[in-house]
Formats: sequence, C-alpha cells, structure tokens
Amino acid sequence: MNASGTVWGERCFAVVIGLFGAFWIIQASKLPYWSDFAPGSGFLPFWLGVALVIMVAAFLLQSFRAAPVDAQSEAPVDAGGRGRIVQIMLGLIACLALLEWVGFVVSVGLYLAFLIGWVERRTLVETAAVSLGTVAFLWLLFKKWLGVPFPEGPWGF
Amino acid sequence: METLAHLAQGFTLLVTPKYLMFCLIGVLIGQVIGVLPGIGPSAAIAVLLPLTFGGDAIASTIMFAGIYYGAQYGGTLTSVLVRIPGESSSVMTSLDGYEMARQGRAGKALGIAAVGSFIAGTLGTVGLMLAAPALAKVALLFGPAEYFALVIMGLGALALVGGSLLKGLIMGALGLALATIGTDPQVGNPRFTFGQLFLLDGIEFLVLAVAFFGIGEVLAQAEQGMAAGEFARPRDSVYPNWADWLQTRWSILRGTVIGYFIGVLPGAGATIASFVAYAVEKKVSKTPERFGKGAIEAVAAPESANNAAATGAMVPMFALGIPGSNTTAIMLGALIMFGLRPGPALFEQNAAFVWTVIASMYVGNLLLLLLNLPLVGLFAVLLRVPYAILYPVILALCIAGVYSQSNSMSDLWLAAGFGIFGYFMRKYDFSAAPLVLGLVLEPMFENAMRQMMTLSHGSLAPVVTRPVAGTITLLTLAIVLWPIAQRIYLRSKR
Repeated sequence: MNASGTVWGERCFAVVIGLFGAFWIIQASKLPYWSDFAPGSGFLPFWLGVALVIMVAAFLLQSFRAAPVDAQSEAPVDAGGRGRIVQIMLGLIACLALLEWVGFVVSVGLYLAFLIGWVERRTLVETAAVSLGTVAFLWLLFKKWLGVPFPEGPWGF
Repeated sequence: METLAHLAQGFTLLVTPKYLMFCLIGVLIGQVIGVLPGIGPSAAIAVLLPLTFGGDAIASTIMFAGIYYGAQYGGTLTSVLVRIPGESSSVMTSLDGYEMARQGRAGKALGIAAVGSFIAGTLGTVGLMLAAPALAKVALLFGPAEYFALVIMGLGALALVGGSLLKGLIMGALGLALATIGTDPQVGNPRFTFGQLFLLDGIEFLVLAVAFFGIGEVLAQAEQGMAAGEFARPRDSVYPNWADWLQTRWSILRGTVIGYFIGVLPGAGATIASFVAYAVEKKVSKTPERFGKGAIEAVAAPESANNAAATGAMVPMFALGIPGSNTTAIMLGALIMFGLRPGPALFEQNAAFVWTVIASMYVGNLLLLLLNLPLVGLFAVLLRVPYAILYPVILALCIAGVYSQSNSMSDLWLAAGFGIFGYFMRKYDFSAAPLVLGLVLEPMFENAMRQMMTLSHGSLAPVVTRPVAGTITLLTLAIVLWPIAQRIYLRSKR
C-alpha cells in the first residue's frame, strides 16, 4: 500500500470512530441526562459521543488541509502481508466457531497447524512439534494447573 | 527513616521462595521479550494477565515489573548484535552498539550496557522510593474535582505517546466511551447492553488488553513478514575493565538522572529518555566525532537512561494512578483487576504491597546483572526463533487466556473483533495506550465528575476554581498545548 492509500485508510478508520461517536450520542439520548441534583446515566456517554464526533471532524479537517502525499514516497508493504492477515483472521474465526464443538485441544491445535504449516509454509516436523507442544502446554497449564474448564469435544479433551 | 523502615518491611516480605521465584521469572521473561523482536513488554504482560487472574497481587506485580525493566536489558542484545532494536527505547543503543560489534567489541558493549542498566535501575528505584510516597502524601488531599482533573491530565499526557495528539485524544475518549457499557456505577441502570447479558458487567480490561496488545499486534507484525535476524556471537569479554568504567562512569550517571526525570513525566518514557541521553552525551563529549562509530559512552548513556526511565515511570503510576507509558497503563489495569486502587491511597492502604514490589526491583536488577553477562550467548540464540513460529503460539496463548478469565465464548468473540480493530489502530498509528487507560479509569472519572457536579450544583467550575485542581488543569493545558505551540513556532520560522 502506498502513502496515499495509508492516508485514505486512516481517514476511513477515523470516520468509523466518528460514526461510533454519533451512535453513542443517539443511544445516550435515550438514557436520563439529568437526575435531581446530579448528572444522570446518559450525561457522560452523551458528551463523550459529542467529543468523539468533534475530534474526528477536526482530524479529518487537519488531514485534508495537510500537504498532499507523494504516492511514491513510501515503501510498499509485503505483497503477501494482507493475504496473511486475512488467513490468520479467518482461521481464528473458524477456530472459535469450532471450539465448543470439537474442544479446545483439537480446535486450537488445528488452528496452529494451519498457521504454521499452511500460512507460513514451515516443515511438517516443525508444524507438528509446535502445534502439539503448544496445546499440550496450554492444556496442562490452564486445565490441570489452574482448573479452567476448557470446552471438551466428544472424545473428552 | 520511615522510608527505610518500610523498605526493610518490604525486603522481609520479599525473601520468601515464592516472591523471589516470581521476581526471577519476571526478569527472565522480560529479557526474552526484549530479545524477541515483534513482542514488547506491554504485549507480554497483557498475554500473561489471565494467568494471574485471581492470584496473588504482590507476586504478579513483582513479575510484571520484572518483565518491564527486564525487557530494557534484553532489547540491548538485539540492538548490539543485529542492529534490530527489540524495543524502541534501544534504538539509540543500536547506533554505536552495532558499530562496536562490527569492530569485534560486542562483549564490551553488552557488558557496559548491563552494568549501566544495573546502576540506573538501582538508583532509579531509590528515586521511586523517595519521590512516590511524598507525591502520594500531597495527593491524599485530593477531592472529586482533583481526581477528575487528574484523569484528564493522564489521558492528555498519554495521548502524546503515539505522536499525534488528536489521535491520542480520540483514543482516550473512545476508551472512556467503551467503559460506559455495562451497569451505571451510581444508579445501577443498564447502559448500552443491547439486551446482551454478558455486557452487563461491561467490557473487561483484560479482553481489550489482549485484543490490542496481543492479537492486534500479531496481525500488524505478521503483515510485515518478519524474519529471524542474523547475528554475530560476541568474541570479546563481556566484563568491562577499569578503563571502560573510567570512560563511562559519568555517562552512566548522566543517563540515569536524565532517564529518571523523563520517566517520571507523564507521557514521556524510556524511548524519549534514551534519545535525550544520547544527545546530551554527544554534546558534552570532547570527541563527539566518535559518536555513531562505536563510542562506548554512546551505549552506556542511553542504556542507563532507558532503565532509569522504566523505574521513573512507576512513580506517577503508584503515587497518582497515572501511567506514563503503554506498559505502565497495562500494569495499572492489572492493579485494578487485583482489587487495588492505584493512587495516593495505595501507600496508606496497601503499604506491604507497594514496598515489597519496590524491594523486588532492587533484587530484580541484581538478578539481571548476574544473569545478563554469563547468559549473553544463550539469549542471543533466541534471535533465531522465526516470527512465523512465534506468533501462532502467542495467538494460542491469547485464546486460552481470554477464555480462562470468565469461561465465556462471548469474550473470545469480542477479543477477536477488537483484535481486528487493534490491527487497524496499529496500522494507522492510533495508540492503544490512551484507549486502555480511558477504559481503566472511567469508573473513577465518572464517579468523581458526578460527585463534583452534585457538590457544585451541576457546575464544572471546581476543575478550575479549586487551587490544586486548577493547577492540574493548567499543567494539562501546558502538556497538551506545548507540542502545538512548538509546531506553530517551527512553521513560522520556516
């Protein structure tokens, strides 16, 4: 991504936060603004929403008034980087979706194997050793030592 | 005298196998974290938080403090051996440290850095011991208006950490807004829960800390596809000789003083401290032309400064409940999670806790000195661990940690969602520290604001009319407006 792409991304991200601020104003308006002698439940969230909208507007103004960016001035990000992020996140979503069905060990183990073996293209030995070693360590630490009731699959772990 | 008595009590409590072990674990993890590029002390503490949930507050804080200052030692290794600073605070060390390594003097660079860090860490702890209780005593006189002003100062100061003030303030306000989710602390009304039972307790600090500093950080680093570094094993002795000591003793002391005072300032931290220490050292040197070409003083000064700053940053955190850096913001959240109230009352109500942690910092610095020199070769091997192997393990630890906190799938989904948000924050340079601080301090902020407005019949005037609150407000304005004024001045000069 070049510098101008980064600037536009930054502006879009700020707009999302501004929209969140506007949403907070609307939701806070439904709560009591003032009770007998003191601010009510909606007072602070309302003004925080207002502050967010104003600051995001100021940020956008500042960003548009700044000198135009030179599209060639920034080194491009690793081309495979964005694909890697998508794979990591999709893998995480799949891992969480499976967690209660197949249990912590299988779900997290498969996710680790996917990341190391598929996304990072490491050797089979590395993939197996790190995946199995990590889930075994986490299972012992959290389940056995700290007594955390991790979700279990039909096979009891 | 009173301080020494408290410290003696701290040492008495510390010398149990459990606390000493946590101190050792903390400094070891800190060193490893400092060596591994791509994971910093804030991420390490965030990921380890769930393990300490419901545990011993003293042991856990001893460990977290050890991770914080241990990472400053570890960051030196990568700076000197591969010119990749494990921490931003080690950037200045890499300039001359790496040159020394190229000249076959890596051992000397690492040795003097370790000695300087030890002296700075120890003297910094003496400063913490003297300054924090005195500051806390003054702050005990604070009422709602002062607390309200103090939180605003903390958010304003931390907003400067990321570089853009406006982005930092947006993040601080967002953190405060997210913290209003849950049950109203004063009247018990549900707010912004959208009919979801799990939101009644609000969004847990731990979930956001892991999401931003664990998942978000991993995504941002993974995008860049980090490779393991190639390093040169030190060939000379790591033990500095008398000539090295004579050459660097004043650099270490100057670095310590500069680092400590910069560390105490809210919003400034170890990174700025190391930059200033380097600049000052070059200025006072009779041979500034050696700087950048392997000058040993240029390694000693910034390394001493970053360690002293890490200790100095704990002064406002303990005494006022205001963190000066990312890591102390996370530590502050951890203290609240343990049921403690960081701030002036901490020294009164939890004296044993504070003084044991302070005592542990003396022991931790000594442990680091003893471990650092003989284990240089071993820690250097860690540089070969590729990030491709490291980040999946961090993600698995994040999943296990978030789930363990409340055994809830909802928290895991929240962490995944905020992790993506954290990635964009990192990508577009919106600092997570003010957001986390806003989330942590919101209950105190809202309670203080509502109490103050009740007492003043709905007016916000006490923030400026009460002497102490007014002074804090003025300081906040100075902190926030100073960089703006500086920018305008520089622009007008051009």
